[in-house]
Amino acid sequence: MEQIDIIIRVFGGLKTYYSESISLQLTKGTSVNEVMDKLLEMNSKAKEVLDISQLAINSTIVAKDLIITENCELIVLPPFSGG
Amino acid sequence: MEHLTNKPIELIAAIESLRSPLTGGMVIFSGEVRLSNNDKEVAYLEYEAYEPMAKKKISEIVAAAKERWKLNNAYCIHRLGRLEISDCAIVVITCGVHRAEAYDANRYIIDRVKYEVPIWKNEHFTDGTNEWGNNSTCKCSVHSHEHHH
Repeated sequence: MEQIDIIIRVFGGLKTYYSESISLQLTKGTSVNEVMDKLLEMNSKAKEVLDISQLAINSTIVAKDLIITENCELIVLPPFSGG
Repeated sequence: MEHLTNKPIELIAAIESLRSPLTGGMVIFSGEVRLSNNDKEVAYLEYEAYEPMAKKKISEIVAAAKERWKLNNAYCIHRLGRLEISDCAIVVITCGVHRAEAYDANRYIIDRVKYEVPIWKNEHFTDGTNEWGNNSTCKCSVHSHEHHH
């Protein structure tokens, strides 16, 4: 199976549970949801925040059922708190 | 004009740069660091952003306000990094022919920025604890319903 490289970046309260940047090698065709499951496996304490987080690729919000077909940077965005 | 900065916001310079003979009303909003939150004394704040997306989103929101209210000018800048009490965290300036559209547009911009722009606030309290903020439950003017994420 063809592999792809994903860099996951987390912000805000998620940095309590993960390092700011995580590199993963996944099978091509993995969904964003499956990546989220892997994050949860890495630290189940993050579930509450992960459940209310949005995902972005190339500065655009993506659906959690999106299939990842190429190397990318996946940004995990917990609820915003600017202003 | 920039939308994010790690330096103190130059409010007076921003006002001067936005002045126009076509403007009859300029509204200035400055979001400032408050001494207390949720009955706890704040020591300082730290803001961070996913900068490429934050710049893009603020630019889109300001452009939408200019178009909707036919503003002469509009501007929004958010500070990042460590902020002390009474520091300015965000400034929104809107310039209209009359005050009504400048007020409405200003409120529209700040409400959308708080809800839609990837910026996060970490509040550090004087008791040594800290807490990440969450604007996701909002009842602001641009949304007619309460959100739960």
